[in-house]
Amino acid sequence: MNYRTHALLCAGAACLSSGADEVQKKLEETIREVDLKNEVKIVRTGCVGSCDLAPILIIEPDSVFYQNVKPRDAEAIVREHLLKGRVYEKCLIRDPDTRNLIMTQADFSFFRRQQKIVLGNCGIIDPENIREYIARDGYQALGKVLGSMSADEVISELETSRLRGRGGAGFPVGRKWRFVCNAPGDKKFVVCNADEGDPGAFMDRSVLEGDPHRVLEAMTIAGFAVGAQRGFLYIRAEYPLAIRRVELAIQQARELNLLGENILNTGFSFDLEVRVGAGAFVCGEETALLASIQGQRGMPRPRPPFPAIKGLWGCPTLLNNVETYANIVPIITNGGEWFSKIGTERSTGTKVFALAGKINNTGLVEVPMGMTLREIIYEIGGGIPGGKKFKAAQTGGPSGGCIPEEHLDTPVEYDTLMEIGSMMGSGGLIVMDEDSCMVDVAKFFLEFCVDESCGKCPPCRVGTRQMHRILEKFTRGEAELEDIEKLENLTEMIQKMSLCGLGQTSPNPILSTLHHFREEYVAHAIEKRCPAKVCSALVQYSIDEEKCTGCGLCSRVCPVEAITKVDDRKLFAIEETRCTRCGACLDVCRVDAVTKTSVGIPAEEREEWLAKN
Amino acid sequence: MAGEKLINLNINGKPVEGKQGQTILEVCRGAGIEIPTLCYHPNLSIVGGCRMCMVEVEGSNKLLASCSTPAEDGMVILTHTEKLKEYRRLNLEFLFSERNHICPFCESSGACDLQNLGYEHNMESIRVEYLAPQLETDLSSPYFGLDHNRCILCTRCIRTCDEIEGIHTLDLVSRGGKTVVGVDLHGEFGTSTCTSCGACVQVCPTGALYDKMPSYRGRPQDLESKSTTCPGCGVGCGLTVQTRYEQIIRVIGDEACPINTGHTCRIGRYESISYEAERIQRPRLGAKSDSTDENTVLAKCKTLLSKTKGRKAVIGLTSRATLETGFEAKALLKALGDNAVATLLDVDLPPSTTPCGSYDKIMDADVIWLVDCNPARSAPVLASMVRRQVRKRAAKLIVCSKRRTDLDKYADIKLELTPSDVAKLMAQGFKDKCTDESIVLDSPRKKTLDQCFSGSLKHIVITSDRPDRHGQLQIFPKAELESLKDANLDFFNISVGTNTLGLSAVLGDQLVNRKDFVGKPFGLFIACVGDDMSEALSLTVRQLDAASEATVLLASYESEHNPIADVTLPVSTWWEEGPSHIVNMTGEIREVESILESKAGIRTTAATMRCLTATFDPDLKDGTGELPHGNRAIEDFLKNVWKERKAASNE
Repeated sequence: MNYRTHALLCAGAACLSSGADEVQKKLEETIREVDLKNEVKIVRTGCVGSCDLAPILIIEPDSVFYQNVKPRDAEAIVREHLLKGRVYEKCLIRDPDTRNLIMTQADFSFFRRQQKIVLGNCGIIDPENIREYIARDGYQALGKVLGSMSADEVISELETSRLRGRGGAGFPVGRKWRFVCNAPGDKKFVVCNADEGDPGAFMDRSVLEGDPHRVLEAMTIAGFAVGAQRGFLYIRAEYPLAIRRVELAIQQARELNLLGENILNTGFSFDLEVRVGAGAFVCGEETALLASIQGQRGMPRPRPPFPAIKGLWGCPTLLNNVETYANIVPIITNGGEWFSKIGTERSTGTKVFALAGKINNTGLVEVPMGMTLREIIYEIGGGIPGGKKFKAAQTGGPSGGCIPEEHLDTPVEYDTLMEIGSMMGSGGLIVMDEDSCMVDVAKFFLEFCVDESCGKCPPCRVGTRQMHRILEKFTRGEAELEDIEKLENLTEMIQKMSLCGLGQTSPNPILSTLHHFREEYVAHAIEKRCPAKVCSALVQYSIDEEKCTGCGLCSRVCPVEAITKVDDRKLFAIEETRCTRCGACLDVCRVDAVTKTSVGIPAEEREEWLAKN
Repeated sequence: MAGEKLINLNINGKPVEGKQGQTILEVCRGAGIEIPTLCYHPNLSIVGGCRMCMVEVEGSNKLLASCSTPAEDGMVILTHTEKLKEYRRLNLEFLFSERNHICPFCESSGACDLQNLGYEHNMESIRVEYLAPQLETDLSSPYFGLDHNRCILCTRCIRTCDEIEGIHTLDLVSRGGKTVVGVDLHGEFGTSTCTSCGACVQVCPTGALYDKMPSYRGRPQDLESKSTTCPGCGVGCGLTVQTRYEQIIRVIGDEACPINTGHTCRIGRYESISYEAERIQRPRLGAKSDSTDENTVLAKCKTLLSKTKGRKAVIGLTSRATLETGFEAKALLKALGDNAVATLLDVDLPPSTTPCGSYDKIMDADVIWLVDCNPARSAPVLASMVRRQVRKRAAKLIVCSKRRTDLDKYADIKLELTPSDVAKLMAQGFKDKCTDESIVLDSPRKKTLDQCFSGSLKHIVITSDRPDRHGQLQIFPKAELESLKDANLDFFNISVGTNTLGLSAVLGDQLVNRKDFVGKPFGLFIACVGDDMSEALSLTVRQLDAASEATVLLASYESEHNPIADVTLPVSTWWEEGPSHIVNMTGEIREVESILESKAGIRTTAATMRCLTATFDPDLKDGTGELPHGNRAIEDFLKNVWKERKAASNE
């Protein structure tokens, strides 16, 4: 049947949780009512990327981009756009600067500078229908590999592409495949790491939810290239939709003989299984992940031997992450040469980032390597909301670091990020504005490592808790200057002595904030002041008598009844000793009478205090 | 693992030679360079968790754990740089800060790896905060306690439980700072699957796991250690016994003994020492109150003998009796006259007793058959070998028994067949490579069974000759299986007691089955019980006492289970036995050492028997004259016996 129009409804996790299902129901209902059933097809696609605008509906072939679509908007869109050909303006986005309406994805700055390779099919095809993937040239690369290429040629193509592992460390993918290919052994395994655990990062989930066959096809190609017969996708249990779609995809691929015995009649057999992780961050570490697949406690072990030599059940095992696999098919289709021209010399291709934090456009973006942080944050991300000042960008999750404004023009590459004390990681990018306390940020990331330490080695198990204690002293205003030195001693030892990457990189957030924002630590330690006014022990709330209108809103929201009326005037004041510094009064005051200050030790007393200590 | 190819390394500026396949730690220790470790144990797998053994290797930008990194030719290694020492000290500070490691209150103070390393690294204080949470202490086991507050999570206990005892009762629970060693996840020892082998206690580097009885009874430096053989069963494990003030404080597995390499079981470690039982101090006639001197007692024995003259005399022996005792028993039999025979009091003797193969065969088996036996009770260390082989090396386990056994849960197949049916099934299987239809099995079990017979897998059959309901000894008919050409088969008979083989070799035809006397009146009964307090043994003694006209009891302990004999003579315990020998189930001669000095006026069982022999027949030479001198001679003697038996059984 030929449809006149396709309504691409995003069915990614964000859109689903914002009510995409109800929108779909309303769309179908209205389409039936206006009798467009034979002209309009609704396609449930994978994630479009701009998750803060969910639910998203794109009408093709007009490419009109509707956001924040509620069921009643859906009805209107059918009646207006689909029936009468008039764009329904209420759900269009406006340019934040010009306030003009933006009609299509291409006009939206968020999408304009992106280059989609990994996410090429996400938001376009129905991930639950293998035929849509095949219609977009899916499984052609597998056909090409099985029909006309040798294992060596496949790996050479990857080496030419200079693709690096997208899991964080950036190890050359071709070289890894070569290791496994050359490793002695009849039995080998291919494993996909989908235990995406960095706070805020969700590119792997998006690929698995939006385009699962791309990963299956790549893993099958990998199986052929390294000589494996079986593969596992290790997906965290927190991704139920991804698990369901991948399992469905495996089933569909088996039905078409794209997986299983004698694939495409070439004599090559390969099959995949899903293993569900139970929610430990450390299981993203390769040796812990393999232990977990084997049914053991997910704990890292020392390397060597590397998984490429001794992995699952002692057999050579190829382990890549989802985004890495998602790059394989385009490389095989278009050639390694083509891929190596994208991005920079040392880091080729694109990288998907999860933009989050104090930024106007949050969501998933895919950009060529080498784009600067400034371009990503200001051009794609649309800058900082509320006209606040940019303070730092955090990349690499809990293993990464904070990048200050002076490095905003650094091109984003594996090596450059390392040089400025952060790392690529899996692609989380959290933007912080002037309201973020860097000590508090370091403490937040460290808390994550304390919770997620597997407990095997003392530097990580105890060391992270010890560092956390010291940071707590800073945020409570109990730290001394020498605590900075103490912290540095611990970080050095923990980096050097920890068993796995989780422990070794756990001090990174502290080190990068200490390096770029040392003065904040000093302010906490010496002046007992939190410059960003975040650390609750170091801030004071007060009510400006001039501004207070006596409405009493603050008094009503105060959970500890610290705000009371001052004598006979109808004004309010905060009782310092009772205040728990929750900030509720600040949030509700309509006249900005509540102010937050971090006074610390007054400047005149500071000298004296310093001399004493 | 270590091959013979030599490699050259440079460690701390000095050339050091190692072998291909060794780890850096092994090379260093071989060269006398001490690298501190906590989680490393030579008998266990390597986890690289404690991070104490980190070293610098030229060309590597990371520090490497020496316990897990293979040594390579040409490596340049630094083991004790200032940086490393500082890192190690901080690592120790982390461990000390993590939980309660207040040494003065700890049982293991003075024998603690953590404490020793603290001293070694000049750690007089710690520079980080004490975290010390209040954790539980598990005192539910009768033998040992687990104090989580002292635990450093080195996982040695967990690995021992899993890899040596093969039971995997212990494992880590929770993660990060909340990690603890869990017993059956969230259980406690007293009600767990734990076999109480105590191996975890032996490998614990701190005071987290400690034996209850020996607690606070002496630091290692106060104790004297001697090696001997376990009296518990026919496996013949080596034990290291620690004593103080002529008292046994603690028994542990002997690391140097190749049979058990440091492992032992609940019986060996805890049950072989009797802390509470009262010793028999003096010879006596009748009840305890009638203690008298030895001459009177010996005279009485002579009277008893002449009174029962012409009737059958029986010497009853515990299978713990040593070879030396066996020879004295032989002499005593002569003195008792032609009508005298000997019997074992605690095991039934199969008609032809020969040694089993070596234990290595179990550790190399592909298929293990347990036929009507429960090694977890009668030979626990052997059971641990079976579990290891089944759990770690994927051997198939086929349990054939109508009763429940402790190893049922590891069985690939459970067959409720009699030993003779099992033999039929096996003969069929080996001949036709599959089982016939006469024994009905469901298809998955049949499939597994047929797999076991396909190819040339190594089979081990573990049997035990036990009497059935009617008292008839059920003997596994192995002869017909042994004749099969295709079968790669070995047999273990675990009904063999501590020294059954040795006693049977010495006494030969004069050793008869205990069942022959029950209920049939005879003359004099000389019961050599020694320190064996087992109930099975007391029951036989009571039965034979009832059948005999007069009884002479040779025992170490007062026991209400033993009958009031006409004459009771005190004898020494296993630990006072003096240098002597036993033969374990594989035919290996094992030495029994004198751990404690014998008590005044109390002789060994052998010496007491010699007195009796001299009393009965002063012209007779004592048994020691016949005892082959030295291990070599005993070995030759035994070899001859086995050869003759083999020849006899082939006829």
